[in-house]
Amino acid sequence: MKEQIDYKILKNFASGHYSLKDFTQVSRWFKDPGSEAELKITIEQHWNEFPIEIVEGEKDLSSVLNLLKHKIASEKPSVNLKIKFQRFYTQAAAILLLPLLLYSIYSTFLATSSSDNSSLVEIYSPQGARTHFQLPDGTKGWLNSGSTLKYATNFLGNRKVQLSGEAWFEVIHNKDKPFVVSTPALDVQVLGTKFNVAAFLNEKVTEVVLQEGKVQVDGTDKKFTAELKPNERFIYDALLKTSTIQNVNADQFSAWKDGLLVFRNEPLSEVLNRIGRWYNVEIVMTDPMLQKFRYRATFQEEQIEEVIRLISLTAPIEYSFNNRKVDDKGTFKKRSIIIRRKAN
Amino acid sequence: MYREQPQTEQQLVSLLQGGSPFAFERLFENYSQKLYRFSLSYLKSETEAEEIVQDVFMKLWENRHYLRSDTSFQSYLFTIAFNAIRKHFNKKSRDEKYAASILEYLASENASIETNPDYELLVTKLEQLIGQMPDRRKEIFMKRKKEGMSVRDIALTMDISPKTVENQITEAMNFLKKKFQKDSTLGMVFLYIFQY
Repeated sequence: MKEQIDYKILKNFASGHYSLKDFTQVSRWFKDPGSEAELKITIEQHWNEFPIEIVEGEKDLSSVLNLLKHKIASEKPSVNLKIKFQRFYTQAAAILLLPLLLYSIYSTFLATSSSDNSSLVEIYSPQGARTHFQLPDGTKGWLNSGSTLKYATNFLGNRKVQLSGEAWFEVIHNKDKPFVVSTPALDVQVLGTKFNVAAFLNEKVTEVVLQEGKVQVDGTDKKFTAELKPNERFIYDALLKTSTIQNVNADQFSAWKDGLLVFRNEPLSEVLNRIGRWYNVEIVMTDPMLQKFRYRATFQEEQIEEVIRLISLTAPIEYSFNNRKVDDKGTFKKRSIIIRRKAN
Repeated sequence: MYREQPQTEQQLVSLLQGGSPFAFERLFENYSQKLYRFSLSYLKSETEAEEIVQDVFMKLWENRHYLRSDTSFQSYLFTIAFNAIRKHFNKKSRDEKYAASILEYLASENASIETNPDYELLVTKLEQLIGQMPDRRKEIFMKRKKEGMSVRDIALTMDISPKTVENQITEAMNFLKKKFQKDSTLGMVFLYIFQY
């Protein structure tokens, strides 16, 4: 049924002066496929009359723009455009890394047999970025740099995710459907709560830090099981095969999601390791003696040059930055920093 | 980096067609505010309006090779925007539409509800009244109307009998009916004037 679309009613609706009757009518116009063409013409009329300048305050859309720029920059560019992109965005890259809401959700569907219902959705957070995610049940969280989260499309029936890397979770309470985070060494089972899990592939330690609520940590093959209370940190060392529980300030462990880089009395090697991951830079430390220096610090939105400089104020290090190079295939390599012990 | 500063929109469009992130950013600066406010006026949600800006510009970038400098850029931008806005508008979930469906029902007893020129104020009044209900009744009512749970499921979740659930919902609707009655629209008009 083709209705006559009333421009005045549409305009009133847009400006907030409308009745229930108007609202019902407008909803019908939007819904009815037969009205689409006429609706478009009418709304375009409104668009053409809509002022481009603003009288009231501007809305801050910089986060949207930054997200778009990041997506554009992470596309695989064709060879001759590569240089153009890199030069434009290198300046922005350091600023893009920390304070942003990077909403890059990138899914891959791996279809297997239909009875198996095991199509996987994958969320990936690129190196040097933090990514916010939301799962089908409303659970929200953050994925840290270089981390991946996977879940099956039947997630609502079986709330299980696989994590490689580090993530912060704010799990929606559902006592009939426990939420499970699966990592290579252990599973974390929760009811409704906030916690951080760190399980990096090339690291031999898996950690769970609980902020609020209650979780149960189960080792694979039932090697161990533990129940955590808020502000407890569970550490499993895969090499030594030991598990420990410490009392900590949980906020420090999830600070990364707010763009804060926090070090809590960590050896310099660990500090540099994390800085490397955070900024997506390769850090090479040539002197193992430097390990004995421990750091407690918080960095917020600093450029990497500043962070290394600050560290060098109290540790006897010398450093040099090798800026991005192109290898013979034409791909850009990560920046690298070489850290040496300062002579004398 | 770039030797000349492009002035005209036509130049920006043709640079964008060639994949210039600089041109993309300039066009974003030129149109994002208008697109945001326009989308906001139809979708009534800041989050959704922001999503529209993101979706539209992303699409603009993805299809940059198909841009033509002879057609109006604003018109092209609008086409992308219209499709996105329409999609979002129709996707409104049950819990966003629950207020409208309750008011529709109440309008069958009081026709002035349908023609009252400030629908958004009616929704506010409805939400306020629901807030005034005793906790348990409010919970049952919202589970039924907003979340769309069946009477049976509500009874199971809250560990009460289905009859209790039905009674509570009837009580709630009677309460609302009374508050939205013909002679109390005078109260609403009073409130309306007062807000100005």
